[in-house]
Amino acid sequence: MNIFRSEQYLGMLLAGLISLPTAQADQGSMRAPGGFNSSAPVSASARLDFNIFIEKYIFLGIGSGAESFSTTSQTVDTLNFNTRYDIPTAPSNGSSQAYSWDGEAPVLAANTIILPVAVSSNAGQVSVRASSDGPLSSGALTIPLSDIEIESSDTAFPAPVLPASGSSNSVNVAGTAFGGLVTERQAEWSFRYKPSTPPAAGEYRGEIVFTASVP
Amino acid sequence: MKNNKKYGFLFALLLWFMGIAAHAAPFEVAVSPSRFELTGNSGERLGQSIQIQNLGRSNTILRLRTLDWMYSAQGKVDYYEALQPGSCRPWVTLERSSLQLRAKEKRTFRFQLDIPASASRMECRFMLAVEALEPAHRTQLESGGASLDLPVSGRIAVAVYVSLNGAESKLQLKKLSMGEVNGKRVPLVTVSNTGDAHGRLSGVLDAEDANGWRFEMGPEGTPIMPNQTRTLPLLVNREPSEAKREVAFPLKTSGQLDWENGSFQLSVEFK
Repeated sequence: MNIFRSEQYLGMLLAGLISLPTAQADQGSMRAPGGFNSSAPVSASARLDFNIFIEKYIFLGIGSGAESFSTTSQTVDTLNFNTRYDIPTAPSNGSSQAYSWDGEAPVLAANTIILPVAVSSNAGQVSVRASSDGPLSSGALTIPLSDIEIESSDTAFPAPVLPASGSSNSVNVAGTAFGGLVTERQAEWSFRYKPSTPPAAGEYRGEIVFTASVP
Repeated sequence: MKNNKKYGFLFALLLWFMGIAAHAAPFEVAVSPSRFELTGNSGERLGQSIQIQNLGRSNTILRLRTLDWMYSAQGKVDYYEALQPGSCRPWVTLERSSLQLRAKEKRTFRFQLDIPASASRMECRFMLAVEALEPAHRTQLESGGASLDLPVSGRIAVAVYVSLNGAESKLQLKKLSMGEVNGKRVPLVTVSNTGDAHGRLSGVLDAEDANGWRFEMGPEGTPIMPNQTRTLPLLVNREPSEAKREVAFPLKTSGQLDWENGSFQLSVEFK
């Protein structure tokens, strides 16, 4: 798996966000004892004080970014759930093959869609939360958002559990350095559509917003 | 001739507009600072600015607005678009409500807070939301006549705290204990805030575990809101080479935990 190019990315961020270091110097001099012919050692010293200010920052990446995300993810602009009703037992290949159906209801199956996500901050605990204005709706028909399950590839960067509608509980992203003050995480969130009941036909619309903050 | 020049200019303008026009693209945005902790007094005007950078390769349009928020004792954040009782969001003026950024572009965004003369001693808190106008991804499902359209977008919420007229935190150490966080036993510190502004713990403890491993520990730096009691883990400051090393209890610790207006001296063994 290609890794997140965090060094390059962090460098780019810091270049933009770190203020230039300021340095203050003083002068020192020493006259050699015993005049110009003296062989006594001469030395001089001066202090050079540095002051580097690093501002707090936060970065959130959602989607298949070319710069900062793993290229193993599907580079797509549209996530398509391809669902179908699977007959419980697959028939044999070939035409006119007898197939004994055991009577079980067909199962709605859907593929898994992967969404690359990344978060980075140097300001402490990062919190991520999902929210929606409501369930997926098609006129009076609705599909609860909780039918969409999200699984993260990294337990340290968990995905919020979607509620039926509204806002989820926030999840905390585990820090990576400096006792949790610095966080550099990337993950792949796998979206699966697992309907609690088969959906009625219709065009359902909704929206999910993932919010990151360092409160 | 004059008309040709006019149409040429309009055509160039159209091309320019098409070039910078943002479209659905990944949300790749960095904001600095990620948090404001300010002080102010009644009748004052506070002006602040943030740097917003689009790290993506595509143009993006961002929407900016304020949100109310709450922070629970369990460390969960809730955002509210509707004004909450006592909200100070009406005092906030944003430079603009949307911002268009080209690929890699960084811009400064200003906002100001006009504190009313009648404002009392309190802590004003709100979030400055920087969010994508266009979805980062669009999830679609189509099957048997059912079509599901689920755009996914990103948002960064910048916390702004303004301590008004001397509002301040007042932390009290309540308890030191052991507990489980993310499936691991960790030392915990319980702190309550009887002040009228949020507080945070910081500081370093020297620690030595049962195997003689010496390291430093520090408290989780999340806020403790007024009238809130929170139990925070003490986290190990690990060297990269010690990333997977487990702490063996009992654990001896000593040092000082600091907060805004004081500190707690500790010398305790966690078992």
